[in-house]
Amino acid sequence: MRKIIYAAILLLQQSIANAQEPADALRMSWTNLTGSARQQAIGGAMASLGGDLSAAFVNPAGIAFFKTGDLILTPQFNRQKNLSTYLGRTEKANKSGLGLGLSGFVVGSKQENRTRGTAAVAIAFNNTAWFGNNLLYRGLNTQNSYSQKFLEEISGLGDANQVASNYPFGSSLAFNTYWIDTIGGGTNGNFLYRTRAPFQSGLFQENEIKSTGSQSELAIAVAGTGNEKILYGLTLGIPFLNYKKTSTFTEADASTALNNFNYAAIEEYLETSGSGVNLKIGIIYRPAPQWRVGFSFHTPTFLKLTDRYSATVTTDTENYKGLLTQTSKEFTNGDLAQYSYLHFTPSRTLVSLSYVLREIENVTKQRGFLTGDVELVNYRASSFKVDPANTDPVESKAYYSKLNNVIDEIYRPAVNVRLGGELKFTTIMTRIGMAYLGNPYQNINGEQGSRLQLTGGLGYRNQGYFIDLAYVHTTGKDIHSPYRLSQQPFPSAQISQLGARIVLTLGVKF
Amino acid sequence: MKTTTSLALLAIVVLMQSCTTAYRTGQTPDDVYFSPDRPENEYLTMQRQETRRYRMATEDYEDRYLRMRVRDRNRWDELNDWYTYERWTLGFNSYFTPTLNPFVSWNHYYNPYYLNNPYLYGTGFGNATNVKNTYTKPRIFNLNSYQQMPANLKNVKAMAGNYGISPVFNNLHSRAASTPNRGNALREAFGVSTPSRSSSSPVSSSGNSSSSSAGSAPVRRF
Repeated sequence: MRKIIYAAILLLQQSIANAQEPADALRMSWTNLTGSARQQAIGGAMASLGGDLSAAFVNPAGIAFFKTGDLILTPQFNRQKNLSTYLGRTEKANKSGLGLGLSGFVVGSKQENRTRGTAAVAIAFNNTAWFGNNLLYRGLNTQNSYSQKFLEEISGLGDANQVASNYPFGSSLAFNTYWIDTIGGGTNGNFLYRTRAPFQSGLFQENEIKSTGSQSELAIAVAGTGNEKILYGLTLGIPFLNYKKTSTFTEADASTALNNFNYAAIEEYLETSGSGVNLKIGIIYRPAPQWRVGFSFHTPTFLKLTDRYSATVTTDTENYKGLLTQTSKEFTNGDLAQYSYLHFTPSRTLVSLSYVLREIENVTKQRGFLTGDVELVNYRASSFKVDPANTDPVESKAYYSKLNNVIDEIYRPAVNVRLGGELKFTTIMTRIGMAYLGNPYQNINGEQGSRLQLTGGLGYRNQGYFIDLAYVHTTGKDIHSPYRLSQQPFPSAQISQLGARIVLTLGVKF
Repeated sequence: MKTTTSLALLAIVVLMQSCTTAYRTGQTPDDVYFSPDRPENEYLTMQRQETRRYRMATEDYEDRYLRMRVRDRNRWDELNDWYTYERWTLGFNSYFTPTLNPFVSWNHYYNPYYLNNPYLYGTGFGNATNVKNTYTKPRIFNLNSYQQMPANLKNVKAMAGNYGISPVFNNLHSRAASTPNRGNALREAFGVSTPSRSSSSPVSSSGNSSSSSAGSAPVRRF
């Protein structure tokens, strides 16, 4: 029987909207600042400053400043707190974890004389995004039910047998456990459907999302300078991504009466993994000894990703059908569903200016610097494509085309600004900075988001070793919708994000 | 993953500690401001020959064998063939080879060099098989919900409201996520107790009471 069902799924799944959701694109490109403790302490600005290994991930021309060598290690601690307001009620959830940030080495060549250039090479690992997050929100909804998402999906489908088997990651599970049902109930009226959730009398809704994982990148950078005025560099980036998400949405009858609906819940599991490649090119121009002007371009990151996912629906219809559960694994021979695809993140363009007070060898006379980056990211340019190795590209291509159009409509270009500075007292340094990530949403249905990161830190450099400490405080706003409806307003949670990160960089000069 | 990260951290710390730095005395350059050329090494350096650890070179084997024979000619004479050429063969003609040659020794299940080690290559005891996924479709999402709503429905804040319930803070970890009856657990989070729910009984053969485990739902047929 399962083979028949499986064959039916393969053959009959037609114009279903089926693929990655647009939020996946933003998760991989709307990321917080990263890098060494020194870079994070000055707001992440590194597109013109240079002289730090983290320049390999921002503007590779910056490593051309090196005629010495650095070997560094950066452990960091992250803590994320979300205050979520959903239908007038506020909940909180926390997530914290330890990770490895920028680590690696850079080495520069000796300058034979002032008329000849130098070269530098760097190999480094960087944690470019941390996906660890917990989100929880609850509210009383008297206007609609999660199950209406399923009703919209199967709208117009006359054959209830297709409803029962063609949507194994949502609608079929809801139908077979009687979260949604035929109008007549049981086997009657099998061409019209309704929800059994009594939202008119109120539903207590809860959404709990737990995610883990990170995006890291291995960078191989080369840089050089023909003379001391112009520096240039190139980085080959090899990103790795690992993401896991477990979400559980529950809605329960708000009344105390037995009315053939106690509660229904859908649990979804997703893990995404893969790797890719990108290039970063950059140039730094020094019109005067104390001034540095930087320009950098990051190509889109090409990622080949694989999703492995499942869903389980549990519904308690009390005296009607009792407590029933069904998992998508019953449709997939007990395995997680698996699908590989290609993803392109948007390109990034950075311009930057730095003022360095006293570029001289004697460290007792080095005083400090100010630096600022402006970054343009066109989030509309994110796109998904079919993996040519897949055997079913025809129906997926149409969906990906639609998905890319949706991304084009709901996201927009955004400007990110990073500013920072340092005061230096021979061996001790103090730093301060800020980063602002602009709103990537087009605000079609009320979506808005932004992040402000305030940073500070200390550094100590002596006897061939250096140690830098940074604190990054993040405040942000975002939205999250447990479900989206096309025929009526749907609820959204307003998320206030508070993040804290402590970054420690240990380094040795050689 | 945490173990791997910890080992990586430990390895890098050890590596950094073992690094020699040319800047133990004098000023430590700061490349953000100025990167000087590296200082020249003030001492003559030469490679320490005795630190060579690899013994695959032919001269090393010959040297070792000669030293062994000098010590006890009778004892080590029979190993002459292996040290001269049989260590490069599978050694089927040598009486001593099966136990002495690490590439083909008889206790090969514990020998990482043995080509047919089942723990390395999956041969011998039950081949390792890849889990075969039978469903290869993208994740489902209704993209129509991203279309712009009519103006009278556009403001999602119309959905927001207090509904007479005071805002409260409940930590994620304090919630009884594994409560058998999620409906009761969720209602209790809102301060609503529903004792009558727990007395409900199923009417279908596949259903169970609300407070017990769920029955597996079959695919409906029409």
